[in-house]
Amino acid sequence: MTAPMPSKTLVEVKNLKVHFPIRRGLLRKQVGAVRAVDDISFDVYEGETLGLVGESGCGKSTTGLAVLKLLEATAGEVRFRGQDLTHLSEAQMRPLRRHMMMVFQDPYSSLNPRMTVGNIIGEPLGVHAVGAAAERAERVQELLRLVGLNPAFINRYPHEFSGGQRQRIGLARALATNPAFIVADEPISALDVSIQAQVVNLMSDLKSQLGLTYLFISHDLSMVRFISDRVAVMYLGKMVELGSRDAVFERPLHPYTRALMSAVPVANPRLERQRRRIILEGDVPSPAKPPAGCRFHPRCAFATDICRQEEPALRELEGGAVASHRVACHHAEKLL
Amino acid sequence: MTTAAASTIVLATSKPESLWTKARRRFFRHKLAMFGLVTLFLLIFVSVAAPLLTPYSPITLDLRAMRKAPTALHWLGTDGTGRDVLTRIFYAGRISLSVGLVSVSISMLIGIIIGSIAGYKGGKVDMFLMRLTDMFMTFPSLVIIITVAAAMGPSVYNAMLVIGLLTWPSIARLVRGQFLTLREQQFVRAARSIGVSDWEIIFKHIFPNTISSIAVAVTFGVANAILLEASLSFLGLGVQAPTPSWGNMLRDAQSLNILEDMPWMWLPPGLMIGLAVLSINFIGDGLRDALDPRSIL
Repeated sequence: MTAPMPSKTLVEVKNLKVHFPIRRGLLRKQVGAVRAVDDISFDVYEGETLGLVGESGCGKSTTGLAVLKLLEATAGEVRFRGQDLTHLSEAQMRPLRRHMMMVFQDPYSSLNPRMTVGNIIGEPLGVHAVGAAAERAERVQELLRLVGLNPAFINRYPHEFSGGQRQRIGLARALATNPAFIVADEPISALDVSIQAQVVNLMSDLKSQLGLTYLFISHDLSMVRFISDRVAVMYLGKMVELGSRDAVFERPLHPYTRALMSAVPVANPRLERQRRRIILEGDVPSPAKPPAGCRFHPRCAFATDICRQEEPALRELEGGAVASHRVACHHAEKLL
Repeated sequence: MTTAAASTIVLATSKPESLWTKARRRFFRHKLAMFGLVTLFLLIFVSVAAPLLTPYSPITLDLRAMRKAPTALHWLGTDGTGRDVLTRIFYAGRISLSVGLVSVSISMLIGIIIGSIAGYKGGKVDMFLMRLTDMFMTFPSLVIIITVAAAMGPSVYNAMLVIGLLTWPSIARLVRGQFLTLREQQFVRAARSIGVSDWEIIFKHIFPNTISSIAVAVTFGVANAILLEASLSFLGLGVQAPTPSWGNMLRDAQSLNILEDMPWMWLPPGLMIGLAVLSINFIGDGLRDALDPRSIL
């Protein structure tokens, strides 16, 4: 894996908000909103893998869907190669879709049970009118080979495959049109542990082979550490920390990130014995009624008055422009 | 995976088999479906070729041979006005089968279109279409049919139309329900992420997955339509008197002494209805299995 070079920005997310309205009563009046993603900003650079981590319900999948405009953003903008996507209609969006694809979490429900593998993988080629029919068939076989499947599987149906193989099919479908950017939404969490490593390895090989850019969404910290160049941590719809992989994993600045990292088991038994778990108290508050100030304050050991009142911005803390490491915590300096 | 092994397998299966060829092969291997198909063809054949198969007319009365039990001359006996029951059954098939098929086609067409749009679009569109469906469901069908019959005159065609126009709501509800669950499946989202249009998502991704329940609904629909036609004919609003249909033949035999002592008048048409419904049902079953890649056939 190459060192993250802050190169050209491929995807730019600015102040993205995705709120789901809560409607009640006969007239379906809006009484509130689930703030699944609440004002987050980040860039994805060309050729990198940005890992997006956080616990269930923190808004990481929603972020992924909104970036691809599979969910409508409530506010903010998403730019792909400088072009603002948020105001595009679905028809205007279509030609761009061949450059940005998605790999889904559930390998069982993400493939249409009534389509053959060949039709599934070839579908993006058909939609975007890539090549003639014969060329497409060839391309499909090439893709199968690329993801490590037998090209003869072309006429089989998804139910004939295992979870790992199905995920490879999903990956081949995402790669069909030679996209630049792939959002992988928990691509391995539904797989067996032994298969997870295979799929992650494959993804990382494909990345260097094809020059892909990934937004890798996962709650599996060791996998994220393995595949990512940079890591973003989300908590309750907010981004709390964003930095290079090594910085985030070795010098986590946010108390939440620290707690998260302390939960990762270490392979070395001697180090494992020294590992101190930071156990967080309480539950994640509802994203419909997030706490005022810093969203993490009710569970934070370092919280003070300012945390209860003022929302911390995501700010630069250490290093210069080369190794950017940003954190959203009032007390980050003290925790260094 | 070695390339050598891979390439030999490619050779072995290099001739791709289309979905439809595969489905057809599965269908023809389905024993019950084949039984259904043969039976249905037989029923259609005797209805169409009726004039060639019997020397009698289904309409002309023969007062010398009223209510005769089956004999060599009249295989299934005669009815209250001396008409040959077997002949009438053959001719009745024309009416009953076409009423069943045509009215179900009408109701399927409307029901599938409305149900799939409502289920796929959801929200306000769904709300509007479902209220419309509810409205149609609450119409007292007999009143409508009587009105239509009064306005346009009673005929088989009106009966087909009215049955079709009154039975679609249940299909629409069924299809909508299927669409509601299927559109939340990840493969639909995957199709959207690829850039597949709404129209294609509906017809290529969601609709094929609803075939099995629609196949079942069709078979029930045909049976229902044949029986509904029977009630309409009974009320004098469907098929008119001398023309036989399986339904009105059943109604002919409603007096207690016919029921008890002359089973040849009502048993055969009843059996025909049962046979037609059963064979269509088997065909539906076969179609469902043939179109499901997961079934091993």
